[in-house]
Amino acid sequence: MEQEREKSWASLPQVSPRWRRNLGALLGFGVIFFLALRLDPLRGWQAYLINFLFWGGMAQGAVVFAAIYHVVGGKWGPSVRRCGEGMVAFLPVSFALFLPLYFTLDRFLAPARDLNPARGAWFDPRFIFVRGGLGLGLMTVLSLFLVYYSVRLEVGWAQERKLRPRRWLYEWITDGWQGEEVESQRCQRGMDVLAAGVLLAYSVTYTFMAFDLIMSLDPFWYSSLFGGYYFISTFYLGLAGLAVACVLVQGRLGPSAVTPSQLSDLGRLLLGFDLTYVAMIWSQYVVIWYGNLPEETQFIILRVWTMPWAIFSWSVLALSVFIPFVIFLSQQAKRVPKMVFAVGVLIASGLWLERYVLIVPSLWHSDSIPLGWVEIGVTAGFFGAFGLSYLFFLGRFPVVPFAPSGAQSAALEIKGAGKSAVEA
Amino acid sequence: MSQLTYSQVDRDIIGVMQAPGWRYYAILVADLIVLAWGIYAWRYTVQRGLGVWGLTHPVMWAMDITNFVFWVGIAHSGTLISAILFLFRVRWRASIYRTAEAVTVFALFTAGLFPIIHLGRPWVFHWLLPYPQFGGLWVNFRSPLVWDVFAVMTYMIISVLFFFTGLVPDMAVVRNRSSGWRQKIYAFMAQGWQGTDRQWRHYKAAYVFLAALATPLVISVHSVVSWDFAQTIVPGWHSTIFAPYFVAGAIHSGLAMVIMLLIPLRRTFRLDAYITQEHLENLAKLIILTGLIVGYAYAVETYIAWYSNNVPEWQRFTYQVTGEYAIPFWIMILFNSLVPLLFFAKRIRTSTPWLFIIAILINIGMWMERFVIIVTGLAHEYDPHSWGLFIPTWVDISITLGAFAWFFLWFLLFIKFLPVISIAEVKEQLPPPMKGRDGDE
Amino acid sequence: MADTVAGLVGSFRHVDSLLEAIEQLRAAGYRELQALSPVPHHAVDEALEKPVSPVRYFTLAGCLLGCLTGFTLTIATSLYYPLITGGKPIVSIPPFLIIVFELTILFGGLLTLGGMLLNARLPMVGVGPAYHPRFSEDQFGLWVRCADKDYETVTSLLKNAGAEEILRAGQETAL
Repeated sequence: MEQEREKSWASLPQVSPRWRRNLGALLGFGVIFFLALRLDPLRGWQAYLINFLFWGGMAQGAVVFAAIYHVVGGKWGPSVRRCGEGMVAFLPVSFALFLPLYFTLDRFLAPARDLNPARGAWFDPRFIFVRGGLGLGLMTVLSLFLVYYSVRLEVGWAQERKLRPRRWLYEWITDGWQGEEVESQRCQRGMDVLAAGVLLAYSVTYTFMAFDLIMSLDPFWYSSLFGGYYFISTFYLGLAGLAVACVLVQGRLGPSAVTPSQLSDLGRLLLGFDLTYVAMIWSQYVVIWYGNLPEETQFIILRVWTMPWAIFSWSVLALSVFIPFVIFLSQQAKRVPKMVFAVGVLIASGLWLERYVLIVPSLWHSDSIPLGWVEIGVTAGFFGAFGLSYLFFLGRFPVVPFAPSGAQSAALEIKGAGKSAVEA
Repeated sequence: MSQLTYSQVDRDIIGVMQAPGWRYYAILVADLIVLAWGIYAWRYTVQRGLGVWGLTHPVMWAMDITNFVFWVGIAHSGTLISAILFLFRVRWRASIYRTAEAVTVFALFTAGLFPIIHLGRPWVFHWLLPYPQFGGLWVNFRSPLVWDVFAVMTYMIISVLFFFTGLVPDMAVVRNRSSGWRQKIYAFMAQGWQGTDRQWRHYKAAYVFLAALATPLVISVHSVVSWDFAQTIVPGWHSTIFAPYFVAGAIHSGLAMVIMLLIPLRRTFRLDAYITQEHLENLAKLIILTGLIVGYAYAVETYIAWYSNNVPEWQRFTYQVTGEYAIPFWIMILFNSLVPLLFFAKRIRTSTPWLFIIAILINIGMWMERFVIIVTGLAHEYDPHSWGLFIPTWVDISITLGAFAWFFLWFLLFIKFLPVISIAEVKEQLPPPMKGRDGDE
Repeated sequence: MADTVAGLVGSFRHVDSLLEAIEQLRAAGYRELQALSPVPHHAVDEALEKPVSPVRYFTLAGCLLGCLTGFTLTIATSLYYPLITGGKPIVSIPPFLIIVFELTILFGGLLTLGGMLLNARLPMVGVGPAYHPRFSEDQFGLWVRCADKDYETVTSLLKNAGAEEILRAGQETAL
């Protein structure tokens, strides 16, 4: 175990300058495109909102995975957990990217509010901005602290053995280090509390993000499950992103970093959440279809049964639900890195289109379809920012983490039976 | 700390099935009396019609459907523990899943009574099934009530299958240790099981797939039951969150029922080595999760009732909080979402008396929840001149109690005729006997 | 007839003895082995190198059959009794999908069980010739199918690996 840890520190991927350059270029591309969009602000801001929700959601979903892994005392994939934790690096960036939305919320929400003025002060764009900001800020802080405790153990252990040269980041993280024994307890306790906190805050924050930033764009539509649907969808997105990241990490660091059986387990989780995701969609669809109330059905009909938006909705189902389901029915497929990568990309693409088809039809009222260089450019920019943040983390913290995660060992033994049967 | 051996496991678990003492018979007799009273109440209903219940305009569904939903809900935790926890490779499920599965099967037996009980003409209940007939009518597949028939029937069949499949290896053990007519029955149930590697291999494969099928099934069943309400346009009922809300609530009440039954079982038969404090604690932790989901649903429903600007929706919500059924409503909020939060305190979730009391409160709360949703929804729909009340009669209450008695009767018989803990799985959790480890013993 | 039933059954108290016996017997060329145990063991399965269970195909077949049955039942019968209810189309797919889903699971489950029973050759009348009740309690058995002339060799191999008792298959088929 010690050797493995040392090895993981030794093999911290040197982020190749080529990657940095390319991602930086994407980022720059995005910024330029966005600025050029003063010609068509609605389109630019639309793409911005979609991407903000997509990439921020993916990062948060991955961190939520790490939190759940800790709460249930998982042991099957510590390196997978660390890959998930790594996406926390994008969360502060995502929060910063939320702030410019202040300038556009009025543009998005005013038409709906004019059509349905009964909603009152709760829907004042400034109020929405403030509560969105508070929620996201809280999520960012809680997530950062969760990963802080996880990483502190790691860095402290390495510093004790002088495995890495000192850097200000490591110094700051291990400030007040009191030795392995004490810190181990303290960090576990910290993670216990914060993991639970992250999960509780996540469900509330993302419910309201969905209600405020997506559902309110339509003047009349509402669905009580929409918040729950959205945070499940975001978690699913996080898992997909995590799968892609794990395959890339495995490609770089070898199969000992992320084993085929860990990939297989991740594949099973993806299959399970594929079904959960479609259940969330279905629960809304069947109730709205059956009740046949116009204020509810107009939202769905516009997106599912009217061109051109129908193409997008059905693509979402194909990419995020049907194709991954069929592929992952096979046990073998879940162990093959290329397949897992492909499925992860498919799911993520589908979920991008999902955000698109939820938001755009409420805002875009002309005949053309707003999908072109603008959207590609802004997406590229966000991707660049996301990639750079993630690489920042992976370049500084090793993938095989310190201790078996989980507050208490969840493996219960029959009293008196001793250790679990791992021999032979 | 004594080491549990395979033969000791056999002895302990089969020991539960020994001839019972007078206390068992006393409980059995008391149960049969309540059941007989419940049956009498139903016979009274069939003779005189549904008017003897409290049903009247506009509340034409009340305790009958409440009981149905309640018992289907109780059934869910068994499948959660045996199938879903199995797929997640959670080891502590091994010694409690048999009891939980039994709860599932018996709860379904109980729930299955109500679609028949609540019919105006129960003697033609078979019209619900799709069979060729000459009446010119056909089963209306568009109706959520027919979805119910398919879902609950499928769930019952699959649960019974799952239950009996899991029993087969244990039946071999029990068969070996019994004699006479009992042995013949157990031998039949064991299906000639010998424990050859071939049998185990196919058994394990079948078990995995049954678990994988049971998982989406269990979620779909209570979703379908929730759609009995959500597919209507009754204010307060027509809400997309009903499916996951009901599923979480079902697991919530089911877990509480399992705890309620495990604690006396463990105490009476001294099964502490198998059903440990950690098992009960883990069940309590799961209850925290389901309680939080249920609490979330209450909060979101409130928010959306306001957000929707739908006047009937909002008035129905205020009616719940302040109207004639306010007491059941507040019991529901308190017992379902607030009381389970006590389990955050380790002291409470490791204390058997607290566990038992909170489990009872949750069951009461969950029964009240179904009652409140159904009755307040129907009592206060769109037209104020149609508003009315439901007041339960002695017949309603007797049938409800009779259903509980029916459920407990099955459970009492289960304790004595089948192993309450899975012998094979418990043995699987123990370290296998190794030459190296045992030394001279 | 006598040949198929013949063979020796060694009983072991420990799993590693069983594994050792399997290894040695396979090395000596005796491949017709069957292990009996109160609990399944991954290691035993691996040592015996038997093929993966085909029950999964039964499950798949069952699910597909259920899916098909669901669609046929609902669509065909609705077209045969075309009554408009609730303003919904005669062939209304969303509700029918629910029926299809339930029947998929039902048939999948039933065929999985059928697949298991078929492959495991259950139910059996009585028990096989190698069985002894203690194999369901706390001991492990290994049934080696071999001809009479090999009995000496097999007996010594089993004893070396640590068998406690060695019986001829067919003896002690006790209940």
